[in-house]
Amino acid sequence: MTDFTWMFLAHTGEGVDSAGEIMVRSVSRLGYGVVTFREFPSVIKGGMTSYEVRITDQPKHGHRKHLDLVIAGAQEFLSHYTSRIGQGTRVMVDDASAMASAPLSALAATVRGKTHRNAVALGISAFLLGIPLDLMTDEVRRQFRDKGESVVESNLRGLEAGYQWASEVGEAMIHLPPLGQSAPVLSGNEAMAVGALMANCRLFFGYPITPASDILEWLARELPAVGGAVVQAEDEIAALMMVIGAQYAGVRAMTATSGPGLSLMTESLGYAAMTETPAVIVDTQRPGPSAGMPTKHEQGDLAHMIYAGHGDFGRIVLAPIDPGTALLDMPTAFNLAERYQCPVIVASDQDLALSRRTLRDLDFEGVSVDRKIQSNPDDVYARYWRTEGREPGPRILPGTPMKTPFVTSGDEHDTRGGIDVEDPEIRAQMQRSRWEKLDSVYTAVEPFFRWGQGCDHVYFSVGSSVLPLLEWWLALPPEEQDNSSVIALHLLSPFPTQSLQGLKEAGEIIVVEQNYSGQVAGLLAQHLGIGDKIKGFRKYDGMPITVEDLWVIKGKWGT
Amino acid sequence: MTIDMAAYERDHPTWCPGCGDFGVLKALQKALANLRIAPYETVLVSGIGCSGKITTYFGGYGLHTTHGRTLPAATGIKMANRALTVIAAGGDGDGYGIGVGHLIHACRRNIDVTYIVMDNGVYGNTKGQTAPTSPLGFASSSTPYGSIDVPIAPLALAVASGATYVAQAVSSQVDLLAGLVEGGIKHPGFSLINVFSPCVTYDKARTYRWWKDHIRLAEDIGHDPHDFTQAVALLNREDLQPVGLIFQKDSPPLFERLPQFPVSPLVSLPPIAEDPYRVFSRYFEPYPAYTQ
Ligand SMILES: Cc1ncc(C[n+]2csc(CCOP(=O)(O)OP(=O)(O)O)c2C)c(N)n1
Ligand code: SF4
Repeated sequence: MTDFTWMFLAHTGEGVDSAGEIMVRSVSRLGYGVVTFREFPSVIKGGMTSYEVRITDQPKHGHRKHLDLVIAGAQEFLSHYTSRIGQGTRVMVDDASAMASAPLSALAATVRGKTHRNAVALGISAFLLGIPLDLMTDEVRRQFRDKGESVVESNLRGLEAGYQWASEVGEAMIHLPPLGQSAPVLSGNEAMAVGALMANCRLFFGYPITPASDILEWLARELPAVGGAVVQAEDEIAALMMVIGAQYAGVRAMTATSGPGLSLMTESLGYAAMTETPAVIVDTQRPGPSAGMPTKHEQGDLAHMIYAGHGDFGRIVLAPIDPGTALLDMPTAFNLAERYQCPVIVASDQDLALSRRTLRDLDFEGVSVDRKIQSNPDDVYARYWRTEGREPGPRILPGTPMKTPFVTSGDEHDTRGGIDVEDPEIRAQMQRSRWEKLDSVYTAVEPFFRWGQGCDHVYFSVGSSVLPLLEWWLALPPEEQDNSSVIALHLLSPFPTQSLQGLKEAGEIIVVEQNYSGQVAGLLAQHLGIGDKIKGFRKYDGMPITVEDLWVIKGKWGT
Repeated sequence: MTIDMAAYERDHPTWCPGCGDFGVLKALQKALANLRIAPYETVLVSGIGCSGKITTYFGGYGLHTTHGRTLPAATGIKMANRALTVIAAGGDGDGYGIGVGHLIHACRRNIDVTYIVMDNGVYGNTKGQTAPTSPLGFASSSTPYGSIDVPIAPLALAVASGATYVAQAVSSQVDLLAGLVEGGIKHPGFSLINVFSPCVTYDKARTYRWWKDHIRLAEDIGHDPHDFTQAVALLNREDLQPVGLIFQKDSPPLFERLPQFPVSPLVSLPPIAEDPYRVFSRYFEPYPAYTQ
């Protein structure tokens, strides 16, 4: 079994990203799965950045705390990672006085032409990991080909110098024989962006914010070619209002933001709900409140997504767990927004958004674009009519010939859209119909994902926290797996109370989530009344849960 | 279907008798009827306030938005369906107070939307509080000792922000105003039309009579609306309030600035691809497997 975590640490601007990309592509082409993680700790002088790649031949998608090989540009960079360096970690520092040094600068200096330490580090890594030199040569070429032949050549000489040196001073740590397969590698942000195109989303309005900006930037690059556009709005209030305008006029549109932006969007969120206009919003969570930790990870906006906004209204909140579910959740989100005529929030988090993961066995079978628009209204058309299942009837769009075009308002209105801000009966009826239309959402989307059938111990989680949990659970001895199961809540709102009745039979429920107050645990207690069975594993230090973090569960609860 | 002013009527307005907004509604109806645009091809996007109620009195499609957010909503609509005539309308509190940020960026963006502001110098709907357009020292329930802020200069702000069509009128000048609205609709880009629209209930000072005494038709004083410097100078005059077309310039509207933006309305385009895997694999092919 291969499970190896490689890390390269250097100054910003030393090509840490390129080195990571080359490593990802090389091992992916050998058929291995990857999980990446990048960090930019701001406390360290000189602007250090790290790129780590977990390389496995198993379907593993979490992060490991333990590092196997660390190549560092300077000794002081390591201080940030002491807790992750343990028995068996091979550390190589570009410092002759270090315990284990790797002469990155010295080797780079021997190379004709300008090369960076990253090329030398890659060469050393290729040897130590048993990656064929010709494969990595290919990838270095590909990475730098736009920069001209001389840049390619000097980087290749750096690569070779590193490889040569490593082969002279020691043995390889592992071997990565080709597995004869390959799969794409995507971050959650990339998955959501391309998922939006699969959903036929043609307009994106957004305001830059870490860690959601990639979606804006990816679509800004790609949308024009497919007949769409991105507009960078002046703020998030505008961004969501533009989305609502576009969706009102019949074009699929979305926005993506993080907590601070979602705070600004709450006004428009309520407007979308009141006017029953479809809207799709991605919230890529980061630690808050306020600016919090912009480049770090947390799941602290879950309650915000479920409850944000004044007044009493529903919305749909979906929580994908990895890039694969994130990809497929985008068409689902657009379809649900249109079917239920309401805002849909896709809950992402920093780890899901930024870490790149190998996507295997994607099933595009169920992906469709389901519109709900009517083009021939009769004179009795009522904008807010309901079908028999209490679902909204098809909308008609502005521009549709109609004797009396109607008004769409955030003021209370009757089924025909006529404003009435006084009548108690109309108010009660409309409130009921706006809530009741959501009653069937849990049948329209998978409310949760489940692994295992056991009921004694149910491990319950959400978003990217599911990944280490699942990995940890899969490593349990079979008899312990038999009496337990893992559940990932997919539909956060409306809460799928009906689908989760089985939880009442569970022995104990261990909720794994990344916030202090236990927002997911709170949902279970609120909707299922099982608060007394819940134990929590909570992490809120800004770093994703690692597989090792979860070992304490076993110690503590003896499953 | 005959397109006349009647086609653009809906409910009878509930504004206070004499409210300036009646004239704005009438001028808008007149402009659209003159241009022979069918009501169903028009979307009026309004804000919150007495002025915001204009959508419910207007015979086209209406989107009655939140307070101050007409322009972003109108931008989304126009981008989705460029065949629609998109008009935004709201109060001075709506557009120059809570929503002023959007105004500046709509000017810069030059989206083809016509924006009419019903400037009554007060917050009519919330019972007469001070607005961003109220004069310094203006006493109202929210500033009983007098307004502490100098009034905003919306048209100067717009011109400075890159606006390409800027005009002004008193709401009682229905024909002048209708002409300016027509001009704004025809103008390829963003247009801002500020309308002095007296609040007969909460502002006893700036009445129709008062405005009559303080305005001058720009063209009567030899103003050239295509001259930026003249427009800035005119908007800075303290002795008069100019009405008519104040400034207009050619500048590519948003759709010409957006790369490859389709000429057909986006809403009418076929799906990006029938097959979702085709879309995915266009960007994310599996890496070629390595073989020795
Ligand atoms: C976010 C928000 N804040 C405050 C209000 C209350 N409010 C309603 S209308 C209005 C002012 C309206 O003034 P203006 O825009 O000048 O329009 P007018 O009523 O004078 O036509 C205010 C403050 C609101 N609806 N929304
Ligand atoms: S309060 Fe003023 S602005 Fe409002 S309807 Fe009456 S006159 Fe018009």
